[in-house]
Amino acid sequence: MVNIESKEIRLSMESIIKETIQQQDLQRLLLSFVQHKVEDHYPFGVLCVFHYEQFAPSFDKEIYQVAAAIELLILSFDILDDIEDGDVIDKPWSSHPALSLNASTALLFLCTSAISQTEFSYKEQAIAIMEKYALNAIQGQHKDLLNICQNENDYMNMMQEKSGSLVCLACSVGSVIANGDVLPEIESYSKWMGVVGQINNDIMDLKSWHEKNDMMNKKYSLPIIYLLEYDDEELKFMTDYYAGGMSKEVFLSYQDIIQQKLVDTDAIKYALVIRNVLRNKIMDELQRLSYTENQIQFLQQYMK
Amino acid sequence: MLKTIQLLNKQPQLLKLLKEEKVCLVGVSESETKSILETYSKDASELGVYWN
Repeated sequence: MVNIESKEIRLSMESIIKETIQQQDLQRLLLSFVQHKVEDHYPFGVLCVFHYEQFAPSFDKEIYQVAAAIELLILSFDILDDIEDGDVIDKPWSSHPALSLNASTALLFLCTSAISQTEFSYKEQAIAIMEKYALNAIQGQHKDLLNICQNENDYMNMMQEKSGSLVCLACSVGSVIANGDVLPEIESYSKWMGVVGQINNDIMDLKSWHEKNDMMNKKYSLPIIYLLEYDDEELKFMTDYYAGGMSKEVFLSYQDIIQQKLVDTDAIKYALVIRNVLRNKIMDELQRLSYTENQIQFLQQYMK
Repeated sequence: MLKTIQLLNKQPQLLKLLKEEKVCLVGVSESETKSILETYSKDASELGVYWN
């Protein structure tokens, strides 16, 4: 089912680009970006279709155009995020960042225009939701780039804005297109689903000492905040490094100690506890909405 | 939650008491306590996924 939907979403994304962008090179570039995402199966668009199906009185295939619009927005954010983070290796937008930035600007306009062109009664509400949550995500991204969320509370808020908003956007747009309404439970569980995904990414990031490793780059995440606040003389080197009092080369010589401390101090377990608190919260809300077992299983894929 | 997990880490005997419902954690809800116990009970396999 997801494969059929992701194919429909991809075709709709391609059609929006071909119909709107006349400049051949820009069109080719945008189509190559869409193709690059094919193996991800366009999860935000699929979530939009899922919520539309749950609440619409009947199914209108035009929903794929709305789902495609959401994926175009996500694609634009992915490009911008990668360029902002300097993380453009092996991506089609890496070869020419200036052209990619221009293309991502085009995507931002394409997505609202694509929704405007549908016949749905609640398309204006959908666009308003899209703008609201996109702006929340941008503000979260700004905080992340500033690297100012250095305690649990600030970091949780930033994740809600940066990652929760985009999942919430996809689910809320699907729901509002269906019946003009978004239940508070949908806004809540979708936001937490985004945060769960971010926590998983943060934990995985600490597993390998690649160039973009958060700790090496003095970035914050829940396990890192935990270690920095853990009272242990053996971890003093970490605060020194984050305060700028130690070189990256020296810090890297502590790799084995860090790996061990992440486990021994329960830093990883702490992040897993927060993730499980959120998963349980999400499950409570899914059950309150009387989703079937199959529907819950489908949504659980987004919490792995 | 951060301070709670640090406390449990430094005083692991509390975890046993928590499981036996002989203590409760101030400022931690029932559902959060359930999540803590769940995480600690399956920590070996969970951590294995990430760290082995």
